[in-house]
Amino acid sequence: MSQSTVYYLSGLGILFFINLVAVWGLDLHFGFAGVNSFAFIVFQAVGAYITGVFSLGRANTPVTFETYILGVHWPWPLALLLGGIAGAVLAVPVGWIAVRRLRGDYQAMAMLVLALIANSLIAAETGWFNGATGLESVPQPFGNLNVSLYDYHWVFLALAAICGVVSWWIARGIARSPLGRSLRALRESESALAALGRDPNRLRTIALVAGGFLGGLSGGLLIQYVQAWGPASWLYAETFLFFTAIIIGGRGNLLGTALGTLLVPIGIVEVTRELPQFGYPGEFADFQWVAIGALMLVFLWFRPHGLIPERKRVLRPRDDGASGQEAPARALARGSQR
Amino acid sequence: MKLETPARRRATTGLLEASSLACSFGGVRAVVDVSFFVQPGTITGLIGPNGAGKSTVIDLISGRARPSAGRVRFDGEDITASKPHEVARRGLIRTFQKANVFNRLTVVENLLMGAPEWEGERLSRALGPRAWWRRGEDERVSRAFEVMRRFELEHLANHYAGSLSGGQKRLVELMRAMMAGPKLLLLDEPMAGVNPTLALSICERLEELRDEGMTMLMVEHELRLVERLCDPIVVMAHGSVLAEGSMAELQANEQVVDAYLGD
Amino acid sequence: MTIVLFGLYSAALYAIGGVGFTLQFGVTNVLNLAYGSLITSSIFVEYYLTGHSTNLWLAMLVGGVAGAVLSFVVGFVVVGAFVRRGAAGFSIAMVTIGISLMIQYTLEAIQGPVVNAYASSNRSTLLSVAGVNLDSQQVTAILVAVVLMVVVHLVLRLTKLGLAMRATADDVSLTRVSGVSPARVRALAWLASGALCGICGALLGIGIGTFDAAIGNDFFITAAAAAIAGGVGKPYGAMLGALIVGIITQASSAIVSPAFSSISAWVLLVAFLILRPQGIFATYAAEREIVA
Repeated sequence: MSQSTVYYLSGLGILFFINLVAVWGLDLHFGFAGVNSFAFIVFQAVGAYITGVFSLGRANTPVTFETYILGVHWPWPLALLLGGIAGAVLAVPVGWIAVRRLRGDYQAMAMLVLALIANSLIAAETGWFNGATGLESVPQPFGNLNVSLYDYHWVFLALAAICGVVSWWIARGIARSPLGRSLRALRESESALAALGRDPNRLRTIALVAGGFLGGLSGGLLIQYVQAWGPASWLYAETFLFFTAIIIGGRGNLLGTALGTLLVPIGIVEVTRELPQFGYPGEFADFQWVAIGALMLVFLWFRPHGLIPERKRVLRPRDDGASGQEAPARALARGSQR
Repeated sequence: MKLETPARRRATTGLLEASSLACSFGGVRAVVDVSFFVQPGTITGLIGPNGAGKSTVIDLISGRARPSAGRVRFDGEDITASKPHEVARRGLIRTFQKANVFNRLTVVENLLMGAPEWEGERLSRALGPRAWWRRGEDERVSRAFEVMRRFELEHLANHYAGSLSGGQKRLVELMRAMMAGPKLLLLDEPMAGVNPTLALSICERLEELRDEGMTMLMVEHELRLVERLCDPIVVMAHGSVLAEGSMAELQANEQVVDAYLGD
Repeated sequence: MTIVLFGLYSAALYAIGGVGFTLQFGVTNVLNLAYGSLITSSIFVEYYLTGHSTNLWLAMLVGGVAGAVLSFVVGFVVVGAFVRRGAAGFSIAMVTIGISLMIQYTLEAIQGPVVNAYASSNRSTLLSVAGVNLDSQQVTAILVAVVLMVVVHLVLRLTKLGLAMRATADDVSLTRVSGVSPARVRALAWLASGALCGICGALLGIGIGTFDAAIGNDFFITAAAAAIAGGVGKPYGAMLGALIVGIITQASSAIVSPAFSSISAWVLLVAFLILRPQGIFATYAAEREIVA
């Protein structure tokens, strides 16, 4: 395999983990808690911007000509962590909207417009995050290692994989635990959940904060990889991309969403980037979006649960001794008397 | 004019006390002035024609709606302004008129949700090793299977609740409520739309529970079942309490017969 | 005065677009997020079919027909199929966004990321009030809007179909009482909505002078702000909403900065969606059954 192919594949791997973290975060919102988090891209954006302004150092230097808030040069792990925390913090106001229990499509539209507002505002206000141009020249993790461009990819791939493992730990922990069950119950019927003594708002906030943290982490990783981030990177349609990954792969389960991530953001967008371009520059990207829209419709029609549907959790009592054997027989006996 | 029955004269307090409740939506006064008591160990019935305000009263008691006037006291505590989950935590568990199970959870999982919230449901436990919640979970699963055995529905344990028939869903709701170890069960039309055989079976279960000391407040339309299960019975019409007493006493009351019982 | 006059002009466009949106939403209860792409497609179709003509009347005619046909296909046929299968709120949102993306990027794929331009016509000043000039095209837009509002009002009040549409907007079961088949009412709602959408597009395209495949998107959100603030399914509310939005956008453009003109309307939309989804006028909460 040629070096450039290896470079390309390792790059795909990095982007896979970055997208995976984000998609798992959205699945916590949507697949588990049932929040139509259609502003999810903003979580990624917030993570990216915060990581950026905490790594870039002072603004308005003759070197960079960028204007932005804050602006310190902290160690990259801290900046990355802060990106995740920023996403978690953003979850709180988003929670206030989710609490209103709007009809599904109203909620989607409200979030969509909020994402649009956020994007337009940040593009207009150059003082916040350097407006439409965005942040550039973000220092990379292990940036002062004296390695070649190709070898650096492995370094970053390892970092991305570690973040993937951390996200897996969080998402799987929540998914298989009693907390995960409460979240799924929240998704099914908020009124029944409340009637059983659990506070729906508190549970929803937990899901939103956890998912928000993952979204922010994904953004921080992304800006550290690409070293740049601007409003054009987070238009509201990007959330649709994540949702497509979840719907196609299968919501409410980590494996399904991982498959969806492989197919949609990686498969359709990144892999095909390398195919021979035809037509005018960007024409291929247009076809990608048409394909994504079409895929969403096709799957919602034929297979709304996705390629790997949510697994049924089968539970049995632990003491399968005499009592276990007796019970079904007793039930059968009584049943036949009816 | 309220019928003075011996039961009513005795009641100045109860496990559940509703006093002068009133509530309006969008200009309609659904509940005008409702007061009654539920004594421990009874199945108190709440009956009345459609639109009398019965479901609203249940919503007011369970915290789903806020009264514009009046008070609700449960087990000595004022719960008028409490939110639904706070009311449930005190031991007042309700079921719903339209079967309200968690569809994409299995029957076992539904019952597990009925058990009161415990430390295993915390985020900190979720992020830790399985052992941190395994044992508590196993205990609750065993208890759930016991309840299912008692209701003879063990064979449905790992079916999705959403795939069950209407009557079975009601039983799931009832079993789930049992898992909560309630002090008072608020049943909103538990037999509605259930076939007679199953309804009778639910009846038997409720009688068993009452004999074990469970208190219940039941809204129901099926008068034969009400007659069999409930004493006393509160009759509502047009948002207020018309009368209260046993079925025999109510059948002797002309007002009640005119408003509801007669044909 | 600039604010008022240009606000009036903007309001005219938002009114036509907003009433189209709210009519269809009221009858079918479908939040059609593909509406913006329908506006865009109408502009494209009439631009090419009329040979880039700047004749407003021709453009409106062709655009209106194109809009009606597209709206029918997208709404009644495609979205309708999903609804009849039982799709609920959020799935419909996903479907309409998917359709919107498909339409927008197909248009762009066909003709490239080119910005189309109309030949600059003779923009003579027709109306001058307190030193602010409106040209013939803008005045026409305002007049057309007023006429259309009157037409909509008359149709809703006086015709059988209009009555059926109002009945459906209040309660689906009432449609049967009106004597018109529910399917026909729905189909008509999509058609009418599409026609208004197309007319709006024609005025918008020629008014701005240039357009690309994304032109309908931001405009739609602003028009939706007018419709939802005014009350879902209440055309008169949408008209009032359009006036409010028209003034707000012009005012914020003048007072704060041009970039903020749309943002202020969008904030209004979000505020209504979150705090009062039924709008200023409607009295019920938006919990009705979705048909299509």
